[in-house]
Amino acid sequence: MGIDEQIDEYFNKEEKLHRLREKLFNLVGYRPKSDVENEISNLCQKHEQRVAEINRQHENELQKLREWHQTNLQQTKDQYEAQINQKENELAEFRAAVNEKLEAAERDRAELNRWQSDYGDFEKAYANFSALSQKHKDAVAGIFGGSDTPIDFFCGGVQKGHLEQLWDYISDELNAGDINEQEATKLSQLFDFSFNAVNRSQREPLFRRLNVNEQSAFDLDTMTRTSDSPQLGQVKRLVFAGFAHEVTGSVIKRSLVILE
Amino acid sequence: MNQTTKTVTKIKVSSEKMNEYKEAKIDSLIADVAQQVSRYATVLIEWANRLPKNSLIYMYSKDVYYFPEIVGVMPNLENFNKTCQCCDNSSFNAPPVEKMKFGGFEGDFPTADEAKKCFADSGRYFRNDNFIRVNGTNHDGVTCKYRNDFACYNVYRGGIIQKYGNGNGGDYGWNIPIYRFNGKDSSPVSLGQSILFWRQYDLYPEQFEKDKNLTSAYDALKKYGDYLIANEQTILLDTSRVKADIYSGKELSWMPKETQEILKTNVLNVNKELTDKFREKLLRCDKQAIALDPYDEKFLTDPNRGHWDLWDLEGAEGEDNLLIDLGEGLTARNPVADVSDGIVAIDFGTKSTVVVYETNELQVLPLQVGSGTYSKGLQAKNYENPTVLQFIDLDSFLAHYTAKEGRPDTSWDEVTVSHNAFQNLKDSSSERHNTFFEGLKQWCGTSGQRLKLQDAKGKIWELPAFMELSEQDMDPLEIYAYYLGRYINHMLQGKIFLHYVMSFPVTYEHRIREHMGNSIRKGLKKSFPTALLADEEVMKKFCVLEVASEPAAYAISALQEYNFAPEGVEQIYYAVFDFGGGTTDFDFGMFKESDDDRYDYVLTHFGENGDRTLGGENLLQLLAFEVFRANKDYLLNPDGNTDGNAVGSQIPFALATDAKLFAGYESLLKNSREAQQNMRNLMEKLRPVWEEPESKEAKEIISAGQIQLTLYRENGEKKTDANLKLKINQTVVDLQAILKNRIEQGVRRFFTSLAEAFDKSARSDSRIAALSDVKKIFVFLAGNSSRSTLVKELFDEYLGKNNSQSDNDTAEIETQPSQTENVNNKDSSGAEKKKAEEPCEARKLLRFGNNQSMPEFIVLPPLGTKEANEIRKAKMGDIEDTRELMMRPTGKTGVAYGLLKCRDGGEIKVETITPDGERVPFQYYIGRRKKGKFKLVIDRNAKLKTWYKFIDAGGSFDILYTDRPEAAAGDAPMTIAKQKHINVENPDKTAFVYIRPAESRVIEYMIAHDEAELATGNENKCDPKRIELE
Repeated sequence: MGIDEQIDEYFNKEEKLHRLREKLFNLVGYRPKSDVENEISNLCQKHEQRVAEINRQHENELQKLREWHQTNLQQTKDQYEAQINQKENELAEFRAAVNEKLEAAERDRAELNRWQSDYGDFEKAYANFSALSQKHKDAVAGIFGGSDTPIDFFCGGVQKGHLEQLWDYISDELNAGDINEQEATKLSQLFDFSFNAVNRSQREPLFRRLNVNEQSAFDLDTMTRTSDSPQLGQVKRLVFAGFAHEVTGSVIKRSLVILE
Repeated sequence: MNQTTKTVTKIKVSSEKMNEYKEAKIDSLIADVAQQVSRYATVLIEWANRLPKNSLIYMYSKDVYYFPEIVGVMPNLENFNKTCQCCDNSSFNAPPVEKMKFGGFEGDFPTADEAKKCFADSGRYFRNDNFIRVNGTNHDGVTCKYRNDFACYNVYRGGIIQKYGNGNGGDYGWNIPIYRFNGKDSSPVSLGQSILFWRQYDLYPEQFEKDKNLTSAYDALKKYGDYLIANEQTILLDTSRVKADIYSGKELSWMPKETQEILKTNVLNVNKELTDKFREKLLRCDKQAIALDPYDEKFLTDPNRGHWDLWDLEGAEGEDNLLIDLGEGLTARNPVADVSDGIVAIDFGTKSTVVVYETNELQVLPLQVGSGTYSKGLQAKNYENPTVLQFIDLDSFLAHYTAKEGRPDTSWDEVTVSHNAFQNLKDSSSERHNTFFEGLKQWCGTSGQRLKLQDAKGKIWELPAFMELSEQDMDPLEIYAYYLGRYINHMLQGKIFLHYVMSFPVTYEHRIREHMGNSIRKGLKKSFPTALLADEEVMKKFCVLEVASEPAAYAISALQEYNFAPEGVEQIYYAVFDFGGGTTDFDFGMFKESDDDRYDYVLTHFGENGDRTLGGENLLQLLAFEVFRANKDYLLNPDGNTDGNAVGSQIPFALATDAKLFAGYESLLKNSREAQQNMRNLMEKLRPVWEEPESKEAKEIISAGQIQLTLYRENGEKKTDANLKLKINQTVVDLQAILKNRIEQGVRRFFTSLAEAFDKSARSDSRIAALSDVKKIFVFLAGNSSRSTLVKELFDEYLGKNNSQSDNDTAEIETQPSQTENVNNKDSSGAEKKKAEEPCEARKLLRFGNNQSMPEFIVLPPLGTKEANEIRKAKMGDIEDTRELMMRPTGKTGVAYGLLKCRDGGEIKVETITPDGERVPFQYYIGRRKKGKFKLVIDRNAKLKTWYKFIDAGGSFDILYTDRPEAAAGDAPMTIAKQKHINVENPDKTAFVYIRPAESRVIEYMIAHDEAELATGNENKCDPKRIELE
């Protein structure tokens, strides 16, 4: 019989099977129930015997394993105890070395803290200034009278006479609204540095900032609105705090606020 | 007696407002129903979300299954009455129609795609391995529509589509109908939409049988019918359609019964939310309009208080009125009951406006304008109110302004004035400066000056000159007066004033003053409550009167404060030097006891003049200009470029009043925003030098000799390190000298004007003595700028006084004996007691010889200064001044206080002597140039319409004109004047040019052979040609 014929024969058989199955499925109760039950019972019995045998074997094996493990365990324990002793010795040596290093680090940190408290603000301010866009850098440098070096920057930044002009510049830029958030933050921080430096340069502070709480009423004497704020409304956000003389309270620059 | 308050529950509204309220109420009712729908929908959607995706849902009510994939239903195949067809049958035998009906649906065969979606999943309940089981019987596939034929979707053979006739023998396809909710081959719909489809076809999922909540929610949605819509998330009420149907008159049973009633009724009951909104609006009415503190709740509940705006809003049913029933009573207050007999005086100044009022109890109090919060207590600066307007949204403002007769619903966010506007101006960038209007008073008085205003929204308003405004044009003066009125008449102070007195500049013509009065009247009236405006009897008392000039009013305050009390024939001669922010005004008069029993005193005002550009702000401008000018080389090239490429980087500045041009000014002098901003920046830096010359800041500027500031380049860029020097090479910019020099010009003019005033008046009116017969003249310094020490120094210098002598002045304020006594006291030579006086500049200007007796001038400091208070104290002796500081007149507020004294019913009668009593006199001196000097032809005292021969008509000619009094001396340089060049079309050497003053600032000229020809007209019958002088 050729292969094609074999294949045809196979499919015909399959077809017949399918039809048979169809007929079978369509026959109601075509398989007797008792047959099924007997078969099941036999199977169950065999299964139980098998299970008992396996359990016995399992128990023997377990016992052997226990004994073997006991011996191994003792050996391993002895080995590890020796290793532990060795490690403990090494650890003690290591700790001593670490302590020495910690003390050295502590000394360094004290030095660093001192540096931070003495120069950290300045360093940060100068970093802020250096990170400004060229336009703002040039403008601030103009106000400070030059900022080519950190010393120039510092000297310009601590001048009382530059505060108002610096404030005006930053306020104008913030009010114009076309400055990104990062630059705005840097400029504000720059002013904070300058302001604090001026105050610190005196025995008593000369000025204080005019901070404004959100939802407070607008006060023409201490606040000015952004150009897109309505005339009426409460303070939505403080954009840039103004400042006043510390002693008399006389306002020098009014705080820039957004109203809503 | 008028009822003062009443309780109002129903208020009249316009039809627009009524519609608004009705719409709001209906919206509220619809929203309530929508919320209810939403609650039901949420229950169902939450349940639906928990179902496995694409699971079949058995609908027990109709024994069908819902298939989400096809958005349709299929019969329960376990109970379905089956038919099938062999796949290789040559044609399809459609089952009878009855076999395609199920659960009340008339079914259809699925498309091939639909069949696949329904039957491909082997896990479905009707799938049995590769068979489809229907009612216990298994076959291979289902009938579907494939293109235009019927085919079998054969599950056994892997889901192929076999047209009937082309199929396999032995394969059978079931005829299973479906019913679609959303069309053939529909995409899946949202859960909400599915539920709506079930609702539409009355399908109940089997889960609802056991869950009463689901059933209740499901049943509750039934009544809304097709007013329900679904979105991706949930089921909603179609509120727009509901609203539209309600408005079209449709009754919707599930809407509250009152819904249709709302549309028909004339009396609308509003809910609490709307009532609260209405109350809030009433309490914040003046907060919204003028930023006043909001009124407290008691205004509307306390029967002794009440709200003006409610008084005429009350309505009664049964009329055609549209009424809102508030449900609760609100207290209305009759504004007529709050009308005060007090009088308000308004000094409308160039830079600032002062308002004071006299109460029924004869107390005079200043009024705060433009700073609406009183919670910070009294602040002196708030009583000088900057004359500034800011336009933010003019369209909206005017719409509100014209919508109501009185107390319209304008907003501070539309137009703002005074302190608020002034601060905004200072804080604003140069781009926004066009939205501010500062020169209101000057604009009113300048003929032909058109105006271009812009609001913050960018809209531009072009206005004609003030005198050319029509009824339809927006009037900034009226708007300013409206705001003044709102600040004067409001419920916080609880008074309404109907009687106003004002002063206007003496240099303004009568018609201008009248027009200004009208504008102010209209604006003030607009601030009154509508209920008051409706009361014609009461409104008859409303008046706005001009009672005196500004310097005369100040003189009255000064005379009273310094306790001048002439008796009998005693005369006190005075002169006022009112040196303000923009201009300086002079006024001359005589003060004596009145013969008329109605008055205590009479003030005879016989002369005025001024220096129109001498003012504090102009001085600052001049200083800034001179500093810029000195630094012009730097400004041309601020970065020190050597490549010659400084274009656009120059720093421009603007021309200052009184400044002289310089060579090369074209490259720097601009009228741009940058130039104006630069002037402002430098003026602010220099302000201490003018206002507080002894301050540390001022001294630092002068000693350092340089000013660092931010300036703007021509291209708009900022230069933050601009550095202007006060000494360049050998040239020093002496700031104090510049100030002194300019003020000195004003002082010179003052003395010249004084001489002229006495000269003119003594000749024409016997009440006024000749200057030579006057023993003492008291000079009252007024205006904020008079506080400068330079002013007193200059006066002392001109009067030849050293410091100790000038100090003695303050101790000797004695009245002038009468003229009669003067004459009797004269010796035979006619000089009273010849004093060996040192020669001084004033003597020359007053044209007194060295040996002639000149009146003694006592210069008194501005009211409110420390010096003035000391003089007062010395004069008053033990009598203590119990008035609070802020209630005492100052150099600025004195004008307003004085106005109250000289009104009708006041103690002082004001008389004015002018050549033509009805009109403002001619303002200029007219002349020609002669040998470099100004040769006077027409004096400013000349009568109007009188011809003067000017020059021959043989060719073109120049007319010189000036308002400076030194022109009368005859030897003033011609540079004190401006010129007009006139072309003569037909020169005639035998004829002459005649000129006459026509109006206060207008001359006319004609060519004639003689004066007779002027009267009768020449052969050409030409009319006089008009020339306007500015």
